Amino acid sequence: MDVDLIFKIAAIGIIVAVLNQLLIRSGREEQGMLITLAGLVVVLSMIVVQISDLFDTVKAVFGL
Amino acid sequence: MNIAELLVTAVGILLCAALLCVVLRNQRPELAICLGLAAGALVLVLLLSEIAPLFSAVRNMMQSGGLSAEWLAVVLKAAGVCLLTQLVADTCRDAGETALAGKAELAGRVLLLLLAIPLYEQILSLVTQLISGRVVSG
Repeated sequence: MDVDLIFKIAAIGIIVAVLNQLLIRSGREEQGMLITLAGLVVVLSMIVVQISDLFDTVKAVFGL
Repeated sequence: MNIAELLVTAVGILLCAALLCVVLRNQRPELAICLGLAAGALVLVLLLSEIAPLFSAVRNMMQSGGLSAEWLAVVLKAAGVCLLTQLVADTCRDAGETALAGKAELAGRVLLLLLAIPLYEQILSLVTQLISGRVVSG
């Protein structure tokens, strides 16, 4: 059980939001968008493992 | 893991995830959806890893009722399809994509019908046997 995953995702989201605001206020909107994209990719790559775990479990339990 | 512990774990995960989602939704909605998906997957994996006694009980009941194990397999597959379809449809709906959620539910229904085709055929053959038997006896 890795409940830490949820807190990791929330922390990434908050950090990305703060950095995004910071970069936009200092006039670098492209880099702000890049930060957003990078955060999304990192979180997605963390989630994909979990989703495939869920799919494997469902396959094994329900015999799909 | 006993039942109370399981309940407390699931409730804790879901409440924390809901709070964090609310915090994130204003700034980064896409990460809030990712968080919801991750929390849902975690809780489902947690529940499914503890569900084995339920299945063995259902299997025993069906065997004592004289039903074949093939039908139980169909029912279990249908339950799995429903679970995944519900997860995906709810996630799409959270993301504001009601149309995609509807498509996910449609896919689930089609898969369920495909799973149930052998049972329909059995019912049909049973009905045919009954009708022909009545014709012969009458």
